[in-house]
Amino acid sequence: MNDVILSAQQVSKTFHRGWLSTSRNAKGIEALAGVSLDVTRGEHLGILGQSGSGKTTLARVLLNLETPTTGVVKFEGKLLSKELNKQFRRTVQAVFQDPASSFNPRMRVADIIREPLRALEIDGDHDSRIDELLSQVDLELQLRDRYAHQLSGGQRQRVALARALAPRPQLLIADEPFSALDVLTRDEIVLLLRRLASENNLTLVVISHDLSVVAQLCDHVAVMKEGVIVENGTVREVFSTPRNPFTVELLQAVQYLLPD
Amino acid sequence: MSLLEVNNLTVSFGEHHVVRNVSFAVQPGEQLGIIGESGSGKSLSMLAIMGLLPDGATVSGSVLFDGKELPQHTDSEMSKFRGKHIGMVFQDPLASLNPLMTIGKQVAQPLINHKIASRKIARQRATELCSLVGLPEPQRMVESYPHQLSGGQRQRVGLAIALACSPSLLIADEPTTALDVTVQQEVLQAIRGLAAAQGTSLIFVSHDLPVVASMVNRVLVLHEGAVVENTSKDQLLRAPQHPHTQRIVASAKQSSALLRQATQSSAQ
Repeated sequence: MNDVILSAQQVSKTFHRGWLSTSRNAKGIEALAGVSLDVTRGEHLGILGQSGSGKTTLARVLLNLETPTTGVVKFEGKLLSKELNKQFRRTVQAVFQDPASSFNPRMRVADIIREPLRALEIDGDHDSRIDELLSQVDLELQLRDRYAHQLSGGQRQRVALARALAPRPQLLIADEPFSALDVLTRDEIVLLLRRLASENNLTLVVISHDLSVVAQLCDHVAVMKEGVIVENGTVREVFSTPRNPFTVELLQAVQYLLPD
Repeated sequence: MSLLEVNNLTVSFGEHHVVRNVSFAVQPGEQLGIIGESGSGKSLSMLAIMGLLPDGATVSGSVLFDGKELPQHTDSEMSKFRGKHIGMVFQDPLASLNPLMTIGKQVAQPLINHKIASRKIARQRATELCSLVGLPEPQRMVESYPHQLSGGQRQRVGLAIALACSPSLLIADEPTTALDVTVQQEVLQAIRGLAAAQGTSLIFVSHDLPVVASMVNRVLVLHEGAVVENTSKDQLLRAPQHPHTQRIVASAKQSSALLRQATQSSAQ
C-alpha cells in the first residue's frame, strides 16, 4: 500500500450551472460518477477517453484543484489538509494542454520557472536550478528573458515541463499536453517527457484522447466514459484484448493506420 | 481541362508572405489531400480560393475554375459563385452555424440564395439533405438549433449545407479535427461516400497524414507557405522526397506501427 501515491476513492463530482447553483432542485452535470483509481509509484498511467468523459475533471480532482462532491482523494494514505498542502504540491505537479494560458503573460521564462521554487520554499540557488531545468528540457539559456508569447508552442510546453519539474516532484499529471502541438513537435515532446520521466524517476499520469500517445508513453491505462472508468489494466492487456464494448469501439476507430 | 487550377497563389499580410507561389490543379472527380502543420498556409490557400480572406490580406496569382478566372476581388460576384460551385466544410461547425436559426433554414439557405429552388421546395430539400448526410430523424432535425446537436451531427449539418447546391468541388478544411475519434470515422465515411456518389471533386485539408491517406489518392504537402511535394498517395508513403515530408511520413508510420503492435501483441 505504501507504493500508492494518490488514491481516488469513490469520487463523484457534480457541476451546477448558474449562480443559483446550490439550489436543491438544480440537477447539475455529473462529470465523475464514482471513480476509484490508485496511482502507484513508478507507473506510467494513461487515462483515455473522449471529450466529456470526465478525464480532465479526474485530473483536477487528483491535483486537488477541485473538491470531490462525494468520495475522497488520499495522498500517501492520508487525507489532504492545509498542513499537507505544501508537501503535496512539492510531490505532485501538473502540465496542461495550453501552456500559454497557464503562464502569466507579464512574466519572463526564468520567473515562470522560479514561481514554484519560491512559492514552495525550495532550498538552494534558484538561478542555477533554473538553468539546470532549461537545459534538461533542451531550451537555450538565452530564452530565460523571453515572454511566453515570444515562444513557439513546443517551447512553451518545454517551459511548462521545466516549471513542473522545478520542485523535483515524484508524480507528474499531464492533461492533454500534446494535443495543441503539430505532429513533429508532438513527437519531440513525447520523447522528451519519456526521457524526463526516466531521468527523474517520475510517476506519470497522462490524460489523452490519443491512443498512440498512450501506447508510446504508458504501461497502464484506464478508459473513461461518462464519468466512470469502464476498463483498467496494462496497456498491453487493454489494447490487445479489450473487454468493454466502448474500448473495443475506441480501438476500432483507429482504422486509418498507415501500411508498414 | 482541370476543374480547378491554382497558379502562383501568394497571400501576404504586409511584408509577411504566408502562402508563397502555390500552384496545383484538381481534375473532375478527383480527391486531393493537402497536408501541412499549423501556419503552413493550408487554410489561407483555401480561403483565398473561396475569396474569404480576412481584411488586410493581399493576394496575387490566379485561380481558374472550369477554365474561367475567379473574380476573387469582387465580393458580389464571388458570393454568387461560392456555395453553388464550390462547397466548403470548416473545422468548427459551431462557429460556422447560426445559433439563432433552425437547421432546416440553414440547409435551405444556399438553395434560396442561389435561386435554385423556391422557399418551399428548398425546405423539403433540406430534410432530404439531412437524411442524405446521415442525420437521425431528419424531420425533427430541421426544426432543431445547433446547440441541441452533438459535434458530429453539427459537422453533418455543415456537410449538408456545403452539398446543398450539388457543387462540383467540395473543400473540407480539417472537418474532423474537433471530433472524437469514434465520431471522426463516421463523418469521414459520410464525406467520402457522398463525394463519390455525387461525383464531386474533393480537396481534403488536414494536419493528420493517416486521415488524409484514408480519404484521397493524391497529396499536396505545404510547408511554410510553399508546396514541397505534390504526388500520388502511394508514392508519398513509399518514397517521400522532401525532408519535411520524410519526417512526417516517418512519424505517422511509427505511431501506426506502435499502435498495431499494441493492439495485436497478445492476441496472437
